[in-house]
Amino acid sequence: MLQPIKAVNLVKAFTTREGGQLLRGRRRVVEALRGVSFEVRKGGVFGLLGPNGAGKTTTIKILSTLLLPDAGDAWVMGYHVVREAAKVREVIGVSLYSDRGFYWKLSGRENLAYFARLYHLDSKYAKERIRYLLKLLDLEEDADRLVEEYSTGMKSKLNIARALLHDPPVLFLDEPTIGLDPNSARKVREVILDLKREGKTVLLTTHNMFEADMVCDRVAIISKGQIVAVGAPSELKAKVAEHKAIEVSLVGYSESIEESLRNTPGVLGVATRLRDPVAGVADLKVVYDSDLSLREALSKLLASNAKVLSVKSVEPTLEEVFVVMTGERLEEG
Amino acid sequence: MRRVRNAFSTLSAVVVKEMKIMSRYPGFLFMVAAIPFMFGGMIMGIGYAVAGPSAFANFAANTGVGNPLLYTTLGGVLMIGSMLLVENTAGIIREEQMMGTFELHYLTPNSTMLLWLFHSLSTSLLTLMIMAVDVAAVLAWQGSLLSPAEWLVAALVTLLGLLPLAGIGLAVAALTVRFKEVWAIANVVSSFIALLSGFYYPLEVFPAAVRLISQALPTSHAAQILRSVMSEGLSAARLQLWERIALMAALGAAYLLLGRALYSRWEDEARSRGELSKY
Repeated sequence: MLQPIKAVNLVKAFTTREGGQLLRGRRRVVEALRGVSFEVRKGGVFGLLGPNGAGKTTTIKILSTLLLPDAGDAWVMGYHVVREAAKVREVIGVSLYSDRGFYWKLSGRENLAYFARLYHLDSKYAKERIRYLLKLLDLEEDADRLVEEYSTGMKSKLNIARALLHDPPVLFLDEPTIGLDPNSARKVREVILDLKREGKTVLLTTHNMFEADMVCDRVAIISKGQIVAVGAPSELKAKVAEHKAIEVSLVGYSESIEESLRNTPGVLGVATRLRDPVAGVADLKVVYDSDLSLREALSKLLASNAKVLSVKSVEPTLEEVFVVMTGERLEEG
Repeated sequence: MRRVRNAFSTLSAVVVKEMKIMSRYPGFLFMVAAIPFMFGGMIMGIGYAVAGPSAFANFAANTGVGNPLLYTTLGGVLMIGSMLLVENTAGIIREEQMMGTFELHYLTPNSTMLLWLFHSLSTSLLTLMIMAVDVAAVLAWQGSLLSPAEWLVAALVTLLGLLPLAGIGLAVAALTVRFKEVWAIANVVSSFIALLSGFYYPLEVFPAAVRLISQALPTSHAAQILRSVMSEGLSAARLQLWERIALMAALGAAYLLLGRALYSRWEDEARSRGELSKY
């Protein structure tokens, strides 16, 4: 059976420049993707879950033909993303930014009308479609306001409406809820679930585990350009179901503390979020497999120079899966 | 047939969008309409300060121009039009990248090269409107009007003179967008075009070598034809008119091909380097 999205061993590296004043500084090669492979089933919502810089956007850009891979292949609705790029563009809708991608001096409706004409939609159909999408995304009342007056949440919803203009069977949504207030984020997630009910295939990127858990049928955890785990959220959580986790808040964090915890027998992963790098205020998530290992980890913490502010037990979520698989935290601080 | 219909749909989308955006910057529209008069007044003022009451007679004796107000207004319209066109076309990739709309255009079923050229056409149409307003004001003030045929030729010549600059603008964009220095280079290029097109003085003031270079600019021909048509009428200008129009069309094709080649090369490389959306 034809999979709407299929990626096989995608590889991509970028050359960046660092420093430099008048001249452009020294070159550095960044490996963005190191052999990414996955498939998305028809009518499914597939989440690429990972922190910033993991390779999520690079993957979406390759699949949407905006970027050429250095190696590997990918197909969307059976069309090859390099050899049949024009065909791929006909069957995809792409939302790349939450607050950009518009003409600020046009209203929301005018922006949509412009892109509808670029997609050569019949004017009567376009008018109806725009009205429907504005209603779907709760933008009806603000449709005739200039985009420069829109909030980030409204722009994000307008971006999704634009991606849906030509009613494509496949949608790529890059961080669709980033920076949104809870109400807007909830609306966007509801729309994604509606699209799924309509039979659309959605690939979204996120570093929000709650979002991935709520809207995705399947999730791929991506870290440093590689997929480290793929499965339904429940399957992934089952992998750590027998594990336990605590979250420790402390002052006086140092890398040696983290290293020491990581080397504790029975500790499966440690991930740190530095809340105040100057004062060394940090939250550490420690995933472990037995009470014995917890005791040893806590004694190491108490013996260190750090001052422990709080310790609490947390339920296993996709974040624990991520910590165990990658040793990193998923969400930004 | 479908491709032609689609191209028209894209063209009308771009023109409508650009006109709507421009109409929301009335200050900008006023500025571009007023600049030809400001520059013309400045140049006539300098002439008067240098040569005193005989300035206009000297100008007429040296250039054969008996109507300096019309001469400088036309020159000013073409200058502002050429600057807008080079800078808008050169800057469009960068601007769209910063707005996040560049990649969105790339995803639509249109040639991006054609899309940017349609944006240039919108700028040319704006210049035509400015010309119509400014020149009509001068002509009406002086009690003379042009025939419909003369307006038509004037519009055609203005388009032919300006549109090829889109090729130069695209070439500048393709060569400089990576270094994010588009506007600096576009300003230098449009200054050279203004210098060498004879918008405010006859090209005969230049040495032969410079005159030869100026002949490679479609704006030089447009400036000469427009002045000839507007001051002497269509019949008097007819002798050199079609020769020059043919030359302008050839120059236009050459510049657009150059722009297309450089732009396509940039786009392919940008797609490989991940720079389509760099900002």
